[in-house]
Amino acid sequence: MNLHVYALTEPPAELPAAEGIDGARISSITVGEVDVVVSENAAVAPSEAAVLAHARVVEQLLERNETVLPVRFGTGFSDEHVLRTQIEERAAPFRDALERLRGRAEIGLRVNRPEAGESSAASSGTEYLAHRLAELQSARKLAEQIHGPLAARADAATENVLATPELLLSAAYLVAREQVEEFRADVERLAGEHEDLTFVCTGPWPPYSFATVEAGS
Amino acid sequence: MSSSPPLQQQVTLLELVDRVLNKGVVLTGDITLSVAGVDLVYVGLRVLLASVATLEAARGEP
Repeated sequence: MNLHVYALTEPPAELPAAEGIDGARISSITVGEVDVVVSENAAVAPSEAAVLAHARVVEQLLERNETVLPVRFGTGFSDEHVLRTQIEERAAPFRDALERLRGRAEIGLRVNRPEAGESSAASSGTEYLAHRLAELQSARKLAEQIHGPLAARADAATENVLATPELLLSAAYLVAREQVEEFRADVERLAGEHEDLTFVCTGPWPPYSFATVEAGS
Repeated sequence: MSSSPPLQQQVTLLELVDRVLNKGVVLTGDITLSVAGVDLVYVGLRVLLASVATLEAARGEP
């Protein structure tokens, strides 16, 4: 038996209409103050269909519940007892996380800059490194012009500058659900102020990027 | 906004896979899929190449 876990919510979990991975039925197991949303599966292969099914269940949970703590794809338990023990060990951190994520969703943002042309050939390694450092510093300043105001409006934010040469900024913002539209309007406005950059805004997502929970006591 | 619809959809697909596979709470199950780095990239690329229609159908179902 394999209990595949999708997310944690507050009891009573409002379950989605959708099927789980491989058409399995979604159910929930109450462990203390937390509901664990699961399906029973024979074996779960990391296929495209399984990943999409997992995502769909978590997304529908977000639509139906005030707070959802998404669980990473791939966690299975051979029986309910093992699952209960695992959840109980981190009961307080899970409860705190669910509280922190109450009524919130995640907005994703990627900002691409046009491919940076090759600079004039540096004559030495030192010059090259100096140039690279200057480039990184200027990219950080530019990214901050965009990320700064958005992070200030969000409850929490993650930021990655120049993960690749074209990807100036890759970020996620934790935002109250009723403020999502306003937030997206802020992103649009910033996009208008930086027309040489390409903005791609995604979401609202279940708060995967903010689902960090401490280890149990 | 500056991104065209196809780019938006491609990025959304990529971001979905990234979130489901790399983010979210890590539970220590006793049957954890051993999705090693290579497998993750493989799954990610496969999903990225999947048709937009598949994604829309999957996300649009009630």
